[in-house]
Amino acid sequence: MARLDIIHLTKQFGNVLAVNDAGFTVQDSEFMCILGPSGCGKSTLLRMIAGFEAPTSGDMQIDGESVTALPPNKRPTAMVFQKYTLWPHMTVYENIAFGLGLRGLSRAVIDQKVHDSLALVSLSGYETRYPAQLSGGQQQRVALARAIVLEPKILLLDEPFSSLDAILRVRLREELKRIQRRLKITAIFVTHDQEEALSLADRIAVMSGGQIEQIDHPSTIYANPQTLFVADFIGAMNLLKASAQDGVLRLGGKQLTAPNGIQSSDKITIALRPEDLMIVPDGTPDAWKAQVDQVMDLGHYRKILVDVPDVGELKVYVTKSMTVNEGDRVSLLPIRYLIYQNDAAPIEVNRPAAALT
Amino acid sequence: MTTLQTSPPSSAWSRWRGAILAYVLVAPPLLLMVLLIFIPALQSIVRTLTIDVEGQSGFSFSRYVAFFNDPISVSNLVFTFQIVFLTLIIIFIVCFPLAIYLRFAQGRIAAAVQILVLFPLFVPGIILCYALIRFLGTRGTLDTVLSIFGVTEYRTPYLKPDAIIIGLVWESIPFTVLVLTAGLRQISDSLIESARDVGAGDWTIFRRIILPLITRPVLIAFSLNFLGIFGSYTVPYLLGPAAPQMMGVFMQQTFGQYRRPDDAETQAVITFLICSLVGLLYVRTVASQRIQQEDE
Amino acid sequence: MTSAQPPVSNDFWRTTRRSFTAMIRRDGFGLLALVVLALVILGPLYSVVLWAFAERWRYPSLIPTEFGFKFWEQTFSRADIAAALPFSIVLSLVVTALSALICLPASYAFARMRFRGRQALLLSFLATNAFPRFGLYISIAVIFFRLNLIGTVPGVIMIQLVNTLLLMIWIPTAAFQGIDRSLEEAALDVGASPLRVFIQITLPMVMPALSAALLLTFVNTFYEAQGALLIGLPRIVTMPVLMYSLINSQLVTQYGAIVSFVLWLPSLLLLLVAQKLLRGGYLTAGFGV
Repeated sequence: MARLDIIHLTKQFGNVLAVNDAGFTVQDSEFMCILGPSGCGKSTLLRMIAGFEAPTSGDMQIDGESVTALPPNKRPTAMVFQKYTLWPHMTVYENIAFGLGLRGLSRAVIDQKVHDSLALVSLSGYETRYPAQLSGGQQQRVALARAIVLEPKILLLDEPFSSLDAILRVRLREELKRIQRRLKITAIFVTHDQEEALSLADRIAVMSGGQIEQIDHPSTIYANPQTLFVADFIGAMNLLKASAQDGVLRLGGKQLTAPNGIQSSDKITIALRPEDLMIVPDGTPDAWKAQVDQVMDLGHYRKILVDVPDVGELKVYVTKSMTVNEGDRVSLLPIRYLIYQNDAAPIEVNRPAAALT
Repeated sequence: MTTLQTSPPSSAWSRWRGAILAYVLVAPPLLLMVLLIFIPALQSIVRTLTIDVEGQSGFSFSRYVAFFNDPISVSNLVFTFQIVFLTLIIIFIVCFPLAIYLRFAQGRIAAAVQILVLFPLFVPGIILCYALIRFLGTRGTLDTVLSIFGVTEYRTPYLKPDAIIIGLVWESIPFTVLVLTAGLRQISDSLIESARDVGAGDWTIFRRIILPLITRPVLIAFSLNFLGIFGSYTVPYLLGPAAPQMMGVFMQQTFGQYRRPDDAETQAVITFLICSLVGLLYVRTVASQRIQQEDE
Repeated sequence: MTSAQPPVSNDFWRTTRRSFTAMIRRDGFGLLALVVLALVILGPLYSVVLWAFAERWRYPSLIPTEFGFKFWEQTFSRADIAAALPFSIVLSLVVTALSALICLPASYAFARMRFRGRQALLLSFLATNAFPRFGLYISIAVIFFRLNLIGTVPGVIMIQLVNTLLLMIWIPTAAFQGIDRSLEEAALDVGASPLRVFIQITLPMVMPALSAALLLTFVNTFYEAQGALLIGLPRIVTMPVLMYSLINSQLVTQYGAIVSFVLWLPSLLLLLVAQKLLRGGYLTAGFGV
């Protein structure tokens, strides 16, 4: 319903930079997730957008108009909070109607809107209940209804599902996605749960230490993490210290083909996804010898920990069709990896599929 | 309300304004307290230490010397101490078992015990005194019951020191049990179960696990009861003997009946000084507890 | 009670639900405590209540020889009682209202605003408990004596106000602090002004604590006798002060009993909500715990 521009937004608490020069645009009807570990500044960023924190500098614009100077009650945003923030002394109906009443709508219109919004979150018939009579999941759905009933230009969600159990979290996540698609509402969702972000977002902004590290589509974030932090934070990753000399990449006693453009340095990190390490027949050229230390069955696949001499312990995902036992000796071949040097964007190396056979 | 809206501009000036408003809001009760507690107390202390000689005022201990040279004053002070300590000992002997029982027991009996323990909280001191007179007095209820069982030699504690102690203990039970039970509830079952798991007996658990963990509630119960008993008036006045008197009664008589406010003031300051250490103990204990709670 | 064993036995910790007979068998301490407490706590009150409705009570009868309401009429036709009762009620209401007016804004500031010395100033109210009460009253009385406040209504109001400060500040402060700020933020977020948030969100949520503070303050003030006795006499006579003379003169036993019974009624009000007060932690808050 609206576009949000964040322009050079900075928030300083004392001498701590909670948000450092954030700048991005959330498009109309886009679902944006802000993902990061606790204390990374993601909640502060969201609270600035809602108006609960005043930025130290920078601007926020909704549909091209600055809202930075507006108090929260005058902003066209609505927020769903982390804890269940339903007012305990009001019924479900009163909770949802509260904001509507402030807008001077007629009784009939309010009735209709409350009714519709409850239907949207599948809670029709719960109007007269008090929050204490609802489960956690139901309370959070009412909180969602209370926010969207006001038809905000931007819907803000601050880890809304973090206090729910795992199964409920997944179900509500799907429901939220469905509602957002249906209403075509612009949404910003803050979370520290990458699975949540990957499954919900059109785009993800990864934050760390007050800094936005990368903004991209979920698949791009996963496949091409632009910084070492993102590489480490999103998904499972093997990070290996390496050095480069005369076009040869060395890690431990091993060598890897170095792509063009790599400079001689001993401060290189290689990022290797567990699914990009393949178990190959013994004798395959360039393969690493390794010993299986531990096998963990994770349902539809297995995670194994292997010890590669001179390199260290690596995580590897293998399909269930492959028999691997603890103590086995195997040969491993890295088929895709990213090379991080200095602070530059990583260089991707793909081993041609032909080399495997 | 102003703090709700942290929205712009959060300049130094608006923070200043917030602080000034806060001071304006907290000023009236503080002022009242300063005017009615600190200034009277301080003034009493200063005035009891000065003496007027031919229009010149100077520093003097003479009022205190007079107090401690007066056998009646001294015997009243000693009597007050005796009552305070005896009452405190009885309070703890009675309340500790009750608190531990209420912390761990469940069921209908425990619920009934809880109600009875709290009951005195809802009986004002003056009514309690009247009730105890009717209950303990000669030809009172207790006397009647005993005579039914053939005990005719009933000697009433009314107008004796014993009656003061009975009244004060009666009044102190709910508060003491409440504070101790609240402290005991902070100790989780798992803490005690794990001690039992490694083979500790009841007594060991009480001494090594429970007691060290409830020092604060015990100190609060001790100090407030001490201050309460030392500063009590109604119970010793209505139930106690005409002589010796507890300090509260003594002061009231000096002030009200003998119309000697100066002497009453000296007596008051002496009770301040004696209680000051206990008062400090109370404030420190509550303060440390509160600061810890706010940190959590 | 004093002869009781330390009641820390396995049973309290190991068993949860017990049948009634098993409970009696095992809960020996509880039963003993119950019987002793019932005698000690309820015994004295038993005499008062029965005396209030006794026409005649001759020793050594366990219950009054004759029941009746004759003395109720006599009691309330006494001029001193007829004057003191309404005066006491009005006085307590005034003191409670004044106390709320002075303390509630302050407690909001203590809970919500950040200013230098906040914690220390809040703790300073413990001073009202840290003095031996009657000694403090004497100090105040000496000053009031010179200000001609002895025997005046303002004097009595002031001394009774001192007693209410701790309770009226600490309970509401704890209540304001206990409110989750995001509940207020959520209301701001849907468009309510700060004032409306305070009235429609904050206030209703602290209401149980506020009413507890008001109720406790009213009842405590109503029963406050020592300060009123020292500052009020001879002109100001509240009901509890009147009780002193009724007890001392011992004219008719029934007068004291009936006045005690009537005086005790407001306390019954508290007793009815005792469970709520206890659960909210308000009963101990007045002691600064």
